Amino acid sequence: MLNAFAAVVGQKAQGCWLGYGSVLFLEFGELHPLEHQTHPRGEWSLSSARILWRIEQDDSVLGGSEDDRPTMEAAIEYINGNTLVAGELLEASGDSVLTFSGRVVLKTFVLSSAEDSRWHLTLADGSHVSLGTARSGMGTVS
Amino acid sequence: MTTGDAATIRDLSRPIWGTQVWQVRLNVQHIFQDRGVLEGMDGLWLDFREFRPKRELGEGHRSVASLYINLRNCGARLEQHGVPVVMSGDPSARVLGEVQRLVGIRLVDVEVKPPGGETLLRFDSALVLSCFPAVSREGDSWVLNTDLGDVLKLGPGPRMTYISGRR
Repeated sequence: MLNAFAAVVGQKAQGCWLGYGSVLFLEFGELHPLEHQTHPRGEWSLSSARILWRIEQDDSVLGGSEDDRPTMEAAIEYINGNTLVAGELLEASGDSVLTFSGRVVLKTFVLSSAEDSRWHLTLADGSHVSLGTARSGMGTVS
Repeated sequence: MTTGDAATIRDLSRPIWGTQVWQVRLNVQHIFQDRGVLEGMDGLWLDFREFRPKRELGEGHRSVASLYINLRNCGARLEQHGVPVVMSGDPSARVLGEVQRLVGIRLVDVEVKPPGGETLLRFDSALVLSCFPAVSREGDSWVLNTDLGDVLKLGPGPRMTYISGRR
């Protein structure tokens, strides 16, 4: 297991949103409006491209990345307002499990060997970290 | 899906444990647009058979079941020794080349994890096919049709469906 999510564990998720298709944007910390952007950006922002995801609570599946858009958006609302309690990134596959307060769990599944099929963490100073897999390690800061 | 449902699916899948994949079928969809051609996979089938001993009439192999994995509702990844080999989002040429590893391989067992229904098919040679359902309400993630007429489905959504072929 990698402690890839250490920067955001303990932070409250708010303003999380669904991008194009099923791309998930998780915003943490204080929200800041961005010029020419519809959605404000958190102090930390996690986004995913080309990964499947599913949001669960207890024995229920609230929504997944192959659901229709209203169902996906409703599921993401369950994350908003909750604190990230723990995050696990499986080194070999790049799959992850993010556990939030309120018994909400986000599970992801890497779908492609492509380099962009993983989490990207945007830090408060605007730099980016790719939360890598065994293909590329922990990624690089740009 | 509850823990009990997952255990039930595991039990109902036992008829294919120990049987051999004799055929793999993969649907590749080509989409022609004004900007070019896209391609993607929408379905994977594993056909299982078992060997009938000499003392039985009709010595040879007997078809047992067919497993359909709906790649529109769930992702699939083939791993060996815990290392990803190929994934359903990879280019189809790569997938076509790698899924052939499953032909002739014996299925060891099936595990389903609640509540989402992640399904692990464990084969000989340390091969594992993982299925990750990404739907909550509608659609099937996989369907197992046995030659006895039984139908076992992960669907709709994370729910299980079983229809017995015995009348």
